Amino acid sequence: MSAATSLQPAVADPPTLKALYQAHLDDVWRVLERLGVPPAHLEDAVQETFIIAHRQLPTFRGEGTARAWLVGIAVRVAKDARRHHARKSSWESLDAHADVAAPGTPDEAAMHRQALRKVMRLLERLPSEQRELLVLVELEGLTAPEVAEATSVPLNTVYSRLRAARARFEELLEGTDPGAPR
Amino acid sequence: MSFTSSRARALFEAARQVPGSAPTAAQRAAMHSAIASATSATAASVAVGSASAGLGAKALIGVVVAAIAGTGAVVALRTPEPVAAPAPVVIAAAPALPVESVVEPATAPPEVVAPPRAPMRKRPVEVTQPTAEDAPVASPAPPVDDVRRQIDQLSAATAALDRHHFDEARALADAYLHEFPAGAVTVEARLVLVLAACGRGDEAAARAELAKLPPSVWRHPAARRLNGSCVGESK
Repeated sequence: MSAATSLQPAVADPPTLKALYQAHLDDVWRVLERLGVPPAHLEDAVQETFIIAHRQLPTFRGEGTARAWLVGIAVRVAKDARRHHARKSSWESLDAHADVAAPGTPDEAAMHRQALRKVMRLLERLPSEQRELLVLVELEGLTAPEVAEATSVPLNTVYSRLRAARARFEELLEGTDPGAPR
Repeated sequence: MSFTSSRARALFEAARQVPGSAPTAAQRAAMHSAIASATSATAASVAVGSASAGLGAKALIGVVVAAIAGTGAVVALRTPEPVAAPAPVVIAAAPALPVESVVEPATAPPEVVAPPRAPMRKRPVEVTQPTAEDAPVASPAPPVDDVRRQIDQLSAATAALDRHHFDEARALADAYLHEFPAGAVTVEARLVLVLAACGRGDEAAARAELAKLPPSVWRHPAARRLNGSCVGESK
């Protein structure tokens, strides 16, 4: 293999930042919010995510989905943001998050919002690593391989952590009031 | 693989029915403006750097590729080309992006497409007000500035790497990791350490640094040049 060959970008046509922004702005916003970035810092965190994405875009090889790649950046930005802000702040985010309109009848919508609020409050009691995993997999719908790619964690580790996170979440849930949504 | 508890499954299923919140039009416009400004500044930096190095944008892409993806291969292959030419902002090697219209959300009003000024938005002061819990802790730096500083530090390290100033690259990456042990570009900084060790001909040190990274680092977007380095999987 020649040097020239080895230095060629692996992806001939990486997505443009514009395309990523248009397709995934809402995803990035929501992930950052669900990962506990306070509302007052969401805009900045989104900006940081896309600025980092812009800088790292030439390295995106397209092996995973662009969304998972962006989410991986957002996870790191969220970690950084959380380190800088009081834990209390994230509660504002969680409540605000559940206040958005939900589909269905008013009763269904209220139940769904209540469920989300409960999920987020329980997630808040998990270690950040487990909380991230459940947000990405259970709420955002990423697959374990996508999470492994996004977070640079071995796939088997993702699976084992996910198993532990689910178990811990269930423990916390069982300890809550029985009138909670089932 | 899923929850064993039907209650947990039902709870998440219900929670997923709530669409996430989304930025308002004003927030979209503000973010669009800030990102466009920041990415324009980045492109300008790359353009100046590549010109000073005597390399065009395409050459820059070809040699540097991006992030940490070039020097490792160059080091390993002993390419006679003057690849040590300064690449000022290696991780920003994205000159092919249409910077002037990088982001243009559909909902953004036309007037924000070409923002009149370029500064990043500053974080509201009130959000950093200390609470009783964190009163003894020094006020943290604003995250935007913080992340930009992190990127600048990594850029300096990768630039040193590309100049084959491996000791300097290692020192800069070490300094970054010391200051930001869980920073936004920690993996990239550790990759710099691996490649810098390879550059010094210290394969043992490179492998020791590599061992600090998870095996999945080989799938990391910035890890491509590892394959051409002294710790390449074929080695």
